[in-house]
Amino acid sequence: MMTEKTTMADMEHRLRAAFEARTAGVPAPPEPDWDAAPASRTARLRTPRLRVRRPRLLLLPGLAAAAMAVLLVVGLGGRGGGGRGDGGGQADEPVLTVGAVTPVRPAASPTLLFRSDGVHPTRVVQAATGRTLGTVEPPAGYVQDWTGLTSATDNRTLFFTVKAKGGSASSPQYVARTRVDDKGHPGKAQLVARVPRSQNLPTTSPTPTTTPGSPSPKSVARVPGARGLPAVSLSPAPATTYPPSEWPRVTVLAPSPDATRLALAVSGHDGNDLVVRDLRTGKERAWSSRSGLDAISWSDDGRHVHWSTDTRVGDLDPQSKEDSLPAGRKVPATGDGLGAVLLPSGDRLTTLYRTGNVQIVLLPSDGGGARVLDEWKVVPRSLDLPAADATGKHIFYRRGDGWARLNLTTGKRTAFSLPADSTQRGVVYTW
Amino acid sequence: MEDLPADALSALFQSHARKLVHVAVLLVGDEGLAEEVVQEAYLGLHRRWKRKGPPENPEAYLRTSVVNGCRSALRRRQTARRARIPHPVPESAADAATLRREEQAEVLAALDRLSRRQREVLVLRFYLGLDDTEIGAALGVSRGTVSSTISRALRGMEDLLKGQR
Repeated sequence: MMTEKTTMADMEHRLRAAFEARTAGVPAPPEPDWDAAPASRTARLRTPRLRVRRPRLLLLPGLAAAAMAVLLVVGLGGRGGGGRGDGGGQADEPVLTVGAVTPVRPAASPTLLFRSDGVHPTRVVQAATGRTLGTVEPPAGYVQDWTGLTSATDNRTLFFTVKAKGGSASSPQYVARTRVDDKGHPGKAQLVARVPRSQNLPTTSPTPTTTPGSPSPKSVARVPGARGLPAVSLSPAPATTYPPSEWPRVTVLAPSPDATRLALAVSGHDGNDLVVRDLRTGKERAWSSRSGLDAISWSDDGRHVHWSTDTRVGDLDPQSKEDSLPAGRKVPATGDGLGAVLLPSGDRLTTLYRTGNVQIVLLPSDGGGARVLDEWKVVPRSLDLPAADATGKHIFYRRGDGWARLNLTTGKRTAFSLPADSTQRGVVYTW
Repeated sequence: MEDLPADALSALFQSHARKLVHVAVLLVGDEGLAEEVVQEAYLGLHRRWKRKGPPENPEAYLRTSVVNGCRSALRRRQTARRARIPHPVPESAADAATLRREEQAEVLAALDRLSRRQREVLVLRFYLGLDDTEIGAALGVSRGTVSSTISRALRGMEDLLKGQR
């Protein structure tokens, strides 16, 4: 008992020392200009309302000029309606590829891995040999931004998030798609989606965040009414603050089983949403979520999108009315800070640390007991979530000092050999 | 409309902003991102203050906002999150400190392997020195949960650090 107490005290001391060391050189942030920042936010809410009540005749000359400009651009074969004025990093509205989508068929077994390190372009890797077969290039004028990358069930169609080259941190994200041929060579990537503006997404209820003694949920909520209003610049934005972006950020991407639709979980200053885009028609539907969505996946038949938050899971019918996501059902937290992988079955997979061992655990969607799928002794810097293929039948993960693949249907595990740099910090494989 | 609470906010900023950025650094591992989270927390407080008056406990409000902001920021960085975020310990000029730096880096690496909630409770307890009630208020959990989470987190740290030796 005494020993345990001593050990705990020692650990507390070590933690305090590590925290102090890590933060010792971190300065205080610059103080916002309090007079400017909130005033601009308020202006964002109020100005449009006032403008709506103005005699509309006053707007006509401006509208006519804008219409002429659009017609002129279109007539010249331009690529959209001119500058968006959204800090997107390029003047022209890019053309999104719509239609001409050939439904894909699930691969019997994934043979390609996609390696990302957050710095270099994603590589296509042959799973059996670890050999690099090709490099994924984003569309011209864009760069990968690493927040989303996933392949469809065919293990050949890859979706990944990009941003305009030179765009600011608050510029909009796009989703690019490329197809990899049987030799592992990616084709030309095309832009297929852009994250919707926050104002075009459904209004989100306040995020429940608190308990007694802390701020009420409403007090932490986003400013109500911010959505549905025209974008108004936040000027004069103080140089020392980060004005809220008009664009939410993609947190998870999930193509439908036939890759004709794309589900995106997005998170912005005004809340969290699940967006489903039909890649054949370009039509989008969106549902708001009270909490940030940790994971999404499509059911095998493509009729539902499963979603999960820290403590809830649920299913969405993409044909249902656009509104708030259904409340779903409460589930125990995964117990791991990395969250969980959501399979097409609705089951969740997570990686847990248990007294010196690492476990891959299946948490059934029916609330049944957790099932340990694999377990091994912990190795430093080896604890990551597994990567599940889009069929949800195979997972790929770091296992100790090496890599392994597990067939979730048969339970068969296969060891993989990948190049030495595969275990570098920051390297992520998906398939 | 109530006057802008610039003086009060400024005082809150001067008193707590640096510590809150440190908390965010420990939770997200990125100084720029941490600064952004804290800035947004203060701006959120300002918006609320202007609309509804000050919250009952502005400091607790800011802590909750920062923790929530860190969670959102990590969600937005899915790839980085999956690969864990490195926690470099700043170099010290003294060679004699090398071993200590390595030890501290190991501790921070182990911290990164804990669950999100475990990481949060350890940072709030051992960096900010909050008690169970204050941590529970910041995280939206009960005191009992805080207490048990801290115990499990410390045991987890022990196991992880033993596993590295």
